[in-house]
Amino acid sequence: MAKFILRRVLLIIPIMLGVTLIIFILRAVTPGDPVDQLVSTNATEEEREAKREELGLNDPLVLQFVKYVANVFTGNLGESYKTHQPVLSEILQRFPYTLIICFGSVIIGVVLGVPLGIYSSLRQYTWIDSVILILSMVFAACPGFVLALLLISGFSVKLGWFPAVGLPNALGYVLPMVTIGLGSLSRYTRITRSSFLEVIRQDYITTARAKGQTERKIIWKHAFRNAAIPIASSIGVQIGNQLGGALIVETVFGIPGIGKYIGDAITSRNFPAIQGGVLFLAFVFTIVNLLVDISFIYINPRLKSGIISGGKRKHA
Amino acid sequence: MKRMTPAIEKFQRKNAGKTIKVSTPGREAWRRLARNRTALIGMGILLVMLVFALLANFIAPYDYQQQILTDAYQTPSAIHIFGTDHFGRDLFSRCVFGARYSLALALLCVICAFFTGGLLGVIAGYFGGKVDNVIMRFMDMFQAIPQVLLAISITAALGNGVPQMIAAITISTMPTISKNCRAAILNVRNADYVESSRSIGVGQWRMIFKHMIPNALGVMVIFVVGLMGACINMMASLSYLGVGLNPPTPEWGLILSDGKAFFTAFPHMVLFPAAMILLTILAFNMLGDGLRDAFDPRLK
Amino acid sequence: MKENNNKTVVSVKDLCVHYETHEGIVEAVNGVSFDIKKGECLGLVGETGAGKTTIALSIMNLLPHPPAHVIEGNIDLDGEKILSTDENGKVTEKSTKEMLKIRGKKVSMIFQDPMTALNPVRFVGDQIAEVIQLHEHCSPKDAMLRACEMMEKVGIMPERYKEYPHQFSGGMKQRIVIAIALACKPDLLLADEPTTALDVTIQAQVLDMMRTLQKEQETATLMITHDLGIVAEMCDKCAIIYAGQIVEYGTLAHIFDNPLHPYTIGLMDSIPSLDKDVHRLTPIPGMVADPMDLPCYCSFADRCIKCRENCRQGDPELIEVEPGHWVRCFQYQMKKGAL
Repeated sequence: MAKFILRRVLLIIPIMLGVTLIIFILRAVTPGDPVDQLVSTNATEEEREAKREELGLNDPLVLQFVKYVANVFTGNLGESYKTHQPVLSEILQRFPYTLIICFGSVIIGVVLGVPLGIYSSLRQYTWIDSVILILSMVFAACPGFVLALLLISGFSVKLGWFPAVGLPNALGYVLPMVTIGLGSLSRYTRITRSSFLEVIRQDYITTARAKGQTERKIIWKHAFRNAAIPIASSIGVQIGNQLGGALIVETVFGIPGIGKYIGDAITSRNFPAIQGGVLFLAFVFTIVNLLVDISFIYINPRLKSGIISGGKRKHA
Repeated sequence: MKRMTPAIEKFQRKNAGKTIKVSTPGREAWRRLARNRTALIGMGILLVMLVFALLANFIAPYDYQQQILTDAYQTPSAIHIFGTDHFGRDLFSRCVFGARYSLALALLCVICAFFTGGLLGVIAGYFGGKVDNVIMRFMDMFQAIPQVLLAISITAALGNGVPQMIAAITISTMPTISKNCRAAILNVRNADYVESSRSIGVGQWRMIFKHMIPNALGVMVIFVVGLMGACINMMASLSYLGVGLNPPTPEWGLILSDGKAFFTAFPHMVLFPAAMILLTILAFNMLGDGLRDAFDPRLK
Repeated sequence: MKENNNKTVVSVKDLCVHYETHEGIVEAVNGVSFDIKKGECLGLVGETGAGKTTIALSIMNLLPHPPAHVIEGNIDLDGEKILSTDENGKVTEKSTKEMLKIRGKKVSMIFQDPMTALNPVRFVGDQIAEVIQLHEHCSPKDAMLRACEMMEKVGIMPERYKEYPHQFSGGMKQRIVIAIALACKPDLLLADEPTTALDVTIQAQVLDMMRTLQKEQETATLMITHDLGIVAEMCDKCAIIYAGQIVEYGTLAHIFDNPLHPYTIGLMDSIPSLDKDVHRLTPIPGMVADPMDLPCYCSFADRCIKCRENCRQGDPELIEVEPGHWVRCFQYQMKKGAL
């Protein structure tokens, strides 16, 4: 098992190398001269050339890439064109905001979404199941910025309960969390519901009923862990959605997190900041997926013994 | 009561029924789909959107980019049923033309995504081994960046415009598509009926086209429908952030983005395009759900 | 008769169950009656779709509602009215709450496919202990010990208590399922094709073990199967079921030495035999009757080689041709007077 985890951890290196390559290629294909951003508009060709040399833009691409990778792996994500501060320290400053919002939305999504899905599956064909299903369908279809605008107009402008923009106090976190949370809540509800409906008609549930077990215990002792397998495997995808959603939501609500950082960087064509931000979020995403994969071993016993015996016992 | 009917009558009815009752899996699925209320509502909405898209020139009462500044900021009325925006452009006309842009672009994205990601997935699934490994590790690389973030960084690098946006959406959806197609092909490749047709000497191409693709098709159709919704969502998000299409293209996300500054005073500028986006994505999701139930009746 | 001092454990009367689906009404079980006494084993033989599993699930009160719909019937399990029909035709099922005390304790069931009958994410031992703890009101520790005992009885080392189902072979899993079913010494055991999914060699072992345990605990057993060989080995009595009706019922001697219904005779002829020198087996012509579209006459008539004109003019009744031997066929209905 330790071997599996180690192998899985080591896999981060090639993946991050790949992400770095993608980001590097994106910079290489960007039209326009990056130097334009850095020198004054009336700079002479000599000054531009000197800047180019300084940034290593005249080196062959492969060498540039090697240098870039070396920098990334030592934590040097470059310098912001705008503030001339190291990108990494700017990102780390903003990370807590994004972390709080994402954490809150995961809590909303899982803590409310999963029980709602279970409840809905147990009341299949009733009106309450239909209502939950329709609502979750609508919220799953609603793009983050639309939901954000609707929430602002309702809870900030009309009711004045929460600040519309920025973080004057902790209440400012609520609407962004709810915006991302509602989207993932509806997806968790739907996944949980269909996974429960699938599990509940398995033979082993009939076996449990034939034992004289109560319905409540059948749900928690027999169905839940089996249904949890597809739910857990969707968490990785959901977190990805939430990190992407954070970018949009932070921009709409003016939360100074990484999402807004990247958004602002895009408008001002601040490339080191865009690349650094994307790289950082990709790293966080990869780590989260790693944790999900490892926790998966504990949920699914087949996987566990498969790993211990090298997968040879599959057909035993 | 059934049992009371005269013997002969029943016998005839039974045999008569036998000749009519030809049911293929496809027809069965269609029948189930036609009974599925969710799918029908979804199809209904999509039909309206499709009519908007195809007949936009006839339906839209005004030119979508004609600016009449004296008519600016009008709330919905009989003359402008969705109202007008800050340039005095008729919002209903813009939304109707938006259906054309959004649906066509989403379709283009899906087609491109299928020709790259889908094809790679099919190749990986069919050939397996090293090919599979290389393609899938390549996809892992892309999948490590959250989808929306990848699309945004691509458009940020390439700039605004139709081809750039299609490229961004194609590349960012490629990993999921290829993994889904690969799974669908693997599922079919290992099925017993493929094994048995191989054993009676069915040729490779005949097998791919007669057995594997038709059987994997159901899963893929469901996936395409879901992808259309996802593409519209992503397109709108990109446009909203200002990294999608260029104004004055009447793309829904862009119309909404134009109106967001006036949202508090003139909510109609945001609500109508938002409703169009929401309804269309919802319709695709509903149709997708209905299709899944129809192809896989167990889950219903 | 020696059976007289044995009490009847379960009595099923006029059971009639339909499934109402979008495609039509499936007439799964159409008026089935039988009794099983203590220590007795009744074989229920029929083709796929003849309604065998539906009968077993009715006794467990585990029919899926919807689509299943009990039209009428009375099921009496050791004094408990699981299902009853009053004079007005109103069907009452025992409530789920009351069934909890009966399932697993008075009646338990062995399922057809051991691969899917066990929960894949729980220890096999815990799955046995669960049923013991539910009905014997003992401490978790005692339940665990008794589960280990049960494992030993079905021939599995108790050391494997903390293993998952996927670590066992098919035959082993079925042993676990049997251990679960017999753990609380039920009065009635419903075995739904317990060996169909197993290899022939494993089948013999599992059947042997079942018979030993059944004799030891004097469990009344309903053995559902499509294999007459298993019936010959395990059962005391046998009911042949076709299209949701019992077409012939009798002791093993009646069924095997003197089969009367053309369907039973057909079944016997389609078994390969070592001592008869035949070159070809005789299959029964035609297809199983479609339970969605049953004829209003004898449902076997369309496949029957002895079918005559009057066979298509009504439903035959189940009549007793000799003591304890019942047949549902017009041939014997007419000869009844002669016998």
